[in-house]
Amino acid sequence: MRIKRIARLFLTVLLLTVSLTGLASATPSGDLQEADQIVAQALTQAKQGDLSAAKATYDSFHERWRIIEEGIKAESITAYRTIEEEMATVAFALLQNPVDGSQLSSGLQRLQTANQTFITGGFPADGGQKQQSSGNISGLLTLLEQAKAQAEAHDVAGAAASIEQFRHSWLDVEGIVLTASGQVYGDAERDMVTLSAYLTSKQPDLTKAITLIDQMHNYLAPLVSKTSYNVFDAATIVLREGLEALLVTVALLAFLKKAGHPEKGRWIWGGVGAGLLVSAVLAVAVKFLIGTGAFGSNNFLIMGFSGLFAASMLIWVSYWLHSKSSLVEWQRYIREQSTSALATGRLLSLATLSFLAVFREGTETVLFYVGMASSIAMKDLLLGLALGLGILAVIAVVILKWGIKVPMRPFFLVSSLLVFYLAFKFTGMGVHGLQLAGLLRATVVPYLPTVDFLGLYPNWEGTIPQLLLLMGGLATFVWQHRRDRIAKAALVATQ
Amino acid sequence: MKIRSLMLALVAVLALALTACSAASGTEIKSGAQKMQAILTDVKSAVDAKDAAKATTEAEEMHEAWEKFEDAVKAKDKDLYEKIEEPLGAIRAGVKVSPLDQKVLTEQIAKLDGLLAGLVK
Repeated sequence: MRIKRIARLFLTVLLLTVSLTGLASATPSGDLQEADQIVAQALTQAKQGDLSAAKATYDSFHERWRIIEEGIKAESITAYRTIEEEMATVAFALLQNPVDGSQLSSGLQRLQTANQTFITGGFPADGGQKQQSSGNISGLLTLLEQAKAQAEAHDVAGAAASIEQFRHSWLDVEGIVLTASGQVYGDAERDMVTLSAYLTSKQPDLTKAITLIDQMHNYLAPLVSKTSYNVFDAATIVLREGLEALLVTVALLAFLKKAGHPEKGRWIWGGVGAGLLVSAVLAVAVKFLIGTGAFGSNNFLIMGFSGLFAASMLIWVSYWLHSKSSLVEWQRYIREQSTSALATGRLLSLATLSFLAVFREGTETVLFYVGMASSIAMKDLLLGLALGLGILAVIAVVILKWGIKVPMRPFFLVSSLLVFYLAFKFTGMGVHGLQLAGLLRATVVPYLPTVDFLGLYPNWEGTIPQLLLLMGGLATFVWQHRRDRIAKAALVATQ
Repeated sequence: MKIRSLMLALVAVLALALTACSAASGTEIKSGAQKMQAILTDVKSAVDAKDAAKATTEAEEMHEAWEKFEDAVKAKDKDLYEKIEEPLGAIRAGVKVSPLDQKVLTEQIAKLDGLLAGLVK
């Protein structure tokens, strides 16, 4: 029932987002056509010598432009730049004292020509929204080629800047890459960090950087031909991004059921719902207010910080679950629980955790779907989404049903291990997110393996915290095991 | 009451994430603004020397520097972004007008410099 409710909420948010995309993309030339009438009026006034009226009219065009510029920029960056340049000429003419009427008229005339060229489709379609197609992968390849040429010319700063630009543009393209190949997607995210490390360390390693650029070029180039999405692409995204969030949610729900408080599950679902909602709202804000290019590194920061925050909470949950696998502890817990309800603070922590599990990748997932919407039939998109959510729901039901039948001790042991695994992976991915955002450096260690499944990347900054976590986990396990044995021996002795 | 506390916690988490975002773009903005200020000094020297060709080249270079971090400024403070675009556009257009209007250009250069100084702080 609850899964159905969540699925319904997600679909509603998605439909709203997709329809907003449609509304926004239909207007730019119509908007400019309307605004251009103001320019025509200013031009008439300037020609008649009424310069103060021309200034007032032009100012109102300027205000209008600020509202509609994003739509034009998204369709054609060339048009946007040309119009802004002509506007600057007009603005400068108006700043002069006295204002030169003929110069102002010629500026307004040129602005009108630029506007009309856009309205009649005379500018190239090289804007942000069009970049959702394979054209943008070509753009990434061009950046790699540029970086390689700069590296070969020993222009380290230039090559680093090109790779920085690559990282900023990544968010626009990653949906295409992910649906084409999960392997390439993971490799590219790892290699971006390594490449930056090679180029920005105190002693830049240009030879390794060039080799890596070549590798990235090789695995990204075949994706240029991918221009549209199908049902399975739409299903893949929600499956891939949703599986970890689902595991956290299900582990928390199963725990509440075991603890005899299944009715408190609404706290967990509240966190999941809030995560979906905040992700969707943020994604729509990013798409329509900020622009995905500008949001690129901020998205990595969200993934990084929320990943690390979720990891620290998961470590605590894992420790707690594991302590309950001890017979003595569990009996004590049940005794306490029979007299008191679950504390609100604890429920709030569980809700925050389920919120973080969803929010961590939620914004990115909604952006994937918004980006996809223009290159997939609506029927396929919804079908794919339903398919992905359906598979997730089946997994959830199976785990919940299975979980309740498993005896208490193995249940807590297995779920504490599962949660520990997620904490381990989120730690690696959180650090990796901060590295992708450029906030943390990466000290590359070539002999360390890359294991996406474990969030393991070949650099010290991510691996050391993971190793510490592993050692801490093992020490806790051994210590609890011993304590449990002593407690049991004491129990036997008293009987 | 419970829902209120839950919402408060969620808002706190979101605020935390977004604060972190703005902290990272801060360094990008600062170094970009410093670079622009350095080029702006060259634009001013060229305008003072009535060297229109050099002023045009420098103004274009300054605009290229702006393009690298303008999105970060826009995301942080849209009003400030528009305030910077105004004198920047006027300078780019003004250096192409013959003869150079030194008075207006100097005013616009000072205006832009003041705005950039605010970003460097």
